[in-house]
Amino acid sequence: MTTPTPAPASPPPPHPAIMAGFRRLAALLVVTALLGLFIGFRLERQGQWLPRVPDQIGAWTAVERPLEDRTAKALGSPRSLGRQYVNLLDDRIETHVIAAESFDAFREPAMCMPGQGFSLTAEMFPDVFGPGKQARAMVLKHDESGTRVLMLFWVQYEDGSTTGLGPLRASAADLMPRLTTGFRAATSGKQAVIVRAYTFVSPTDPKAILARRGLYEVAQGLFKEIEKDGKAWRPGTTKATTGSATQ
Amino acid sequence: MTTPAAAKGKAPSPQWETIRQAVHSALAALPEFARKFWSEERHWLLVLTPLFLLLYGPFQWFLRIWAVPHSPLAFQPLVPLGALALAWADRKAIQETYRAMADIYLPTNKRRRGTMLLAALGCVLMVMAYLMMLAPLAMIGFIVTVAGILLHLYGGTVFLTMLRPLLFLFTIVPLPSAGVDLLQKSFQAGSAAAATQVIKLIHPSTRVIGNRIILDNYSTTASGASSGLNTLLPTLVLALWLGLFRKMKVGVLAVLLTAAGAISLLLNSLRLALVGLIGVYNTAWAERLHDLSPWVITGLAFYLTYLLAERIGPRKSRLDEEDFATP
Repeated sequence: MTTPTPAPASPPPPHPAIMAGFRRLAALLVVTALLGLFIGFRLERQGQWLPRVPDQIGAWTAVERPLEDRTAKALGSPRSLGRQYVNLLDDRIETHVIAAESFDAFREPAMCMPGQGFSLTAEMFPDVFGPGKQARAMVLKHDESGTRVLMLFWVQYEDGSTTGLGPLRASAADLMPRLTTGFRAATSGKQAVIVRAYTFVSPTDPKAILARRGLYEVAQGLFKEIEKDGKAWRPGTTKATTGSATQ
Repeated sequence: MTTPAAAKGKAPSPQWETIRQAVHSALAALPEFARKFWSEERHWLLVLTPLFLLLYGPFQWFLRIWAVPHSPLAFQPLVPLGALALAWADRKAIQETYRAMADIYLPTNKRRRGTMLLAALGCVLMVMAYLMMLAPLAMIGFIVTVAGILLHLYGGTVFLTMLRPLLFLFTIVPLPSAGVDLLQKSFQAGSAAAATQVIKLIHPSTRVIGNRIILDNYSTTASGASSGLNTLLPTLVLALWLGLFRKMKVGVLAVLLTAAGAISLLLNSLRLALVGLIGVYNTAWAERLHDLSPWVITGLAFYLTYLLAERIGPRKSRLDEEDFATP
């Protein structure tokens, strides 16, 4: 007669103190993972909104001028609009409206200038569009020719709020703006676009009075149209990249 | 037992035979391992499931970095295997320390547990990485979280025995792309300049502009597969792994790493010089050599580093016969 082999005894469960450690870690990791997935989902949704821009702002008439391929690639190839506004005196103001799809789109605005070679010589954060609605105003100077450029740079949210947040470069100093941008996008969930408007300062306008007046007029016109579009915008209703309006 | 090597009438190489046996026995033990894990260790799923869920987003960023053609970081997916091998080699020390702690202290004793702060720090870093969409920070956060989990569950004493593989894991952290680009350009220019000096011995009129080597009727660039950095980084990491595996002293390890870097750069420059010399006579062959996978040069560089390690470091591998004996 053969004795049946006894079934192996099931191992004792881990000590409660050990299991408590596992549970504590599991709770921490589950919370972090859910937070990570939520942030990832919110940031993934960014860049859906590309607003209409006006064809006419006061005396300024728009001509389509898309971003250069090289620049668009450096910005992570986001959806964008490019318009050149020209007045009767043939003054020109270049504008770009860029969907904030990724952090690449927030990069240094000076790199969007044709030919590059521009350095930042001055900047301030005035309330261009009303109280608390800032833009970043910059003076750029070409390293060789000395040509000056006035630029306004702002991030505009679908609810009309703006920030003149500094640009993002690949350096440790930009970690804070990057964190702030990501935090805003994740907590508010609001869509945003990056707007740049710039003009070359004529040598006959040494104090840049005319250049600044024209730039502010066009920037405010753009702001109003984007604000109007943002209020009407719902996910999936973004107009084609050629969208425009008359103001 | 007849091995393929023995069947061909050659004496089997003991090292390869040991490794072959190790792989065979590891594969054979997998089903039993899975059964045992489920019956005794399934509480680990409590921690492992959210841990890998946490990595879901960043993993896609890493894939994009590693999939770039001729990326100097393409070796990084293999780093966890190296860390596992180091942990496997240290398993006796880890087990003995764990048993000693279990013999001395009750499971409720604080010496058996570590702080949770390290795991919490790792989680904070992961959240920041998600907000900033920064792949390097995500990887650092993940490694710190893993280290924190081990520290909390096993306590400081056991954790210290696992430090070697954990530190090696940091070689998987992707370098910032701007830094890689900058390094890549420097190494391309350096490799081209070094190769030009070799070519000049035969073709004195050869000149170099940036990363371009210009001969009389042929020109080539130090770029893509032959940029230098994509052989240097994997060779350095392999040399580091070898040094840690053999428990080399810091000074010896530093010498080995320096030599590994020099060998890798020298081989890449020689490859470029050969490309130039061959290109004068046969462009197609030169292009083929130029585009030769960086893994071939890395393998050769590591073999030479290995030979050097045999001379300057401890020769005995920590993989002794007993480690791989079939039960």
